[in-house]
Amino acid sequence: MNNKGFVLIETIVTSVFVLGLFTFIVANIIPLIGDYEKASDYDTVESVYDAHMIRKMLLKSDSGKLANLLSFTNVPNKFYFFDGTEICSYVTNSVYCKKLLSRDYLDVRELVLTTYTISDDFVSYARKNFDRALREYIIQMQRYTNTETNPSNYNFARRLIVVFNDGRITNIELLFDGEGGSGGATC
Amino acid sequence: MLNKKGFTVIELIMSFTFSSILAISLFAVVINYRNKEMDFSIKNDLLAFKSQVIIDIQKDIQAKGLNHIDYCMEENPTTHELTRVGRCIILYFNDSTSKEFVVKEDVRADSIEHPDGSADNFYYSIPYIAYGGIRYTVPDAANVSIRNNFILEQTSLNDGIESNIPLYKIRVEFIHNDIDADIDISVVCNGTRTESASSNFKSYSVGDEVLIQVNATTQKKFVVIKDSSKNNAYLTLLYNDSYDSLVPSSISFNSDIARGNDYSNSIINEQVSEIANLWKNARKVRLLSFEEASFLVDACPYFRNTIKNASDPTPYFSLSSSYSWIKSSSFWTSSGRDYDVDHPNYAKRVWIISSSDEKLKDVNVNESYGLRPVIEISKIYDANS
Repeated sequence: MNNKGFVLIETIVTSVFVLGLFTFIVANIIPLIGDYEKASDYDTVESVYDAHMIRKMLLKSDSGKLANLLSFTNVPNKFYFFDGTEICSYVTNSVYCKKLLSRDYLDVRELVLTTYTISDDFVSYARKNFDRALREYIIQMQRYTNTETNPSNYNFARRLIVVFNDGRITNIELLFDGEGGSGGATC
Repeated sequence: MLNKKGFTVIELIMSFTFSSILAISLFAVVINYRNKEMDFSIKNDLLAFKSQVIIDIQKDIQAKGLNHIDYCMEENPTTHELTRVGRCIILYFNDSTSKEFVVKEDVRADSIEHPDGSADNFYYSIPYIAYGGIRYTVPDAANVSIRNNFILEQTSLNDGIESNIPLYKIRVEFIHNDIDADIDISVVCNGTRTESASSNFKSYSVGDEVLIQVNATTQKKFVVIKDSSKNNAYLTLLYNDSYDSLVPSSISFNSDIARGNDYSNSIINEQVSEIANLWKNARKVRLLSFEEASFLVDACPYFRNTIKNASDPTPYFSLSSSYSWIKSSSFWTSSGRDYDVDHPNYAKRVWIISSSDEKLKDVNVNESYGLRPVIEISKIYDANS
């Protein structure tokens, strides 16, 4: 700059800088608004009732396969991911299960079965491997610390995360009695 | 350029122009977010309304236990035939109480007076839900309409569910005229009343033709698309009358696929609902699913898998060796697939049965094909049995 004012190149450089700053701010603010709207799909009333239907089915199932699954023996990061109706091969009433999870009824896209408390290993795995919607839900989830005085009460407690095809996501606890279902049901 | 005498005209014009552009763009951004905030507020009210209805129904179900759900029925005094009444169902609970769930609209009149003293009268609808005698009014009701596809889904013996555990789904969809939000009330629940298996029903096999009394005055010809043993009280049938397929008179698609015409959820479903309203004896009226179509024409497994592969531009399956009744007319199925994976807002391509070139294939959404509804109906409506 000199005392005659700004030259063209100075004006251009300044404009580019200001526009860049503006673009940066907009690009960072807009996704936050999107996230806020997306959070309205988390843990809605009907999705909790819908997840409760799946819980009832799992708690009533006395399948040995499900009991094995719930033990999480040698399972890295202590979780299972089920696409659509995949979980139905582990429950006793598989036809009912497929019908319940189908588009006609609950319209479930994905299920994640994990431990009652959400572990750091699970969250860091989710950060790297799950799709955006599920990943963001898991990151903002409570960790559900076990406050029971008798830890054995929670030995068979599990958590189920349900992703619906319309974008809703919720989670619900499963309290088993250690016999692979049929007990501990609160419903 | 700046000098000791002040600003030149060109500098002032440049400054004003730049400031104006900035102000206008900021103004547009602010207005946009103000509108979004208003939309969000309406959406929140609608969500609260929907949650309240769902909570009240679920509270009853959890507290009393659901026995079963039935449509509200009305008896014809002459023929004593029972037909469904409007958008109304009854929830029967295990303590022998029951509650009616009704979706209704109040029609209200209003008028606009013109400066010359003349007036225009007009009418508008205010939708509401009545459950157990309590009325739930929809927020911002003047701008909300109900989709004409009130649904009660229910499982039957035909579904082969273990222990015949009945499963119900109540669904009502609302659309707000101004905001991009579909609000649907959806309740999924079990009943305790199971259908008892009987060995007194007639058995049917895929391909059997039956004449069904679809309502008090009308009989239509159908083909059985699912084997039904003598233990099953219900039939799953594909429409096969002499009209071949029903071409709805009022249907009008926007052929511009880039506009995101939603095949699966809008126009066609409303047409199916209209047929369901006419054929009240049927417990369900729907379109043939892609899975049913592909099994009926014995499509090879490779072809079935292509439904997940949207990058395959023109998958099709020849119907040359299939049942003649399934290829006797061209009609839609209930399934679509993404037109283009890179453009998720584009319309779905629709799986159709094409009689002209004898193929099961996918096409762009358009009005060239007819409806051939599938109905699920009790065997007592078979006019021949």
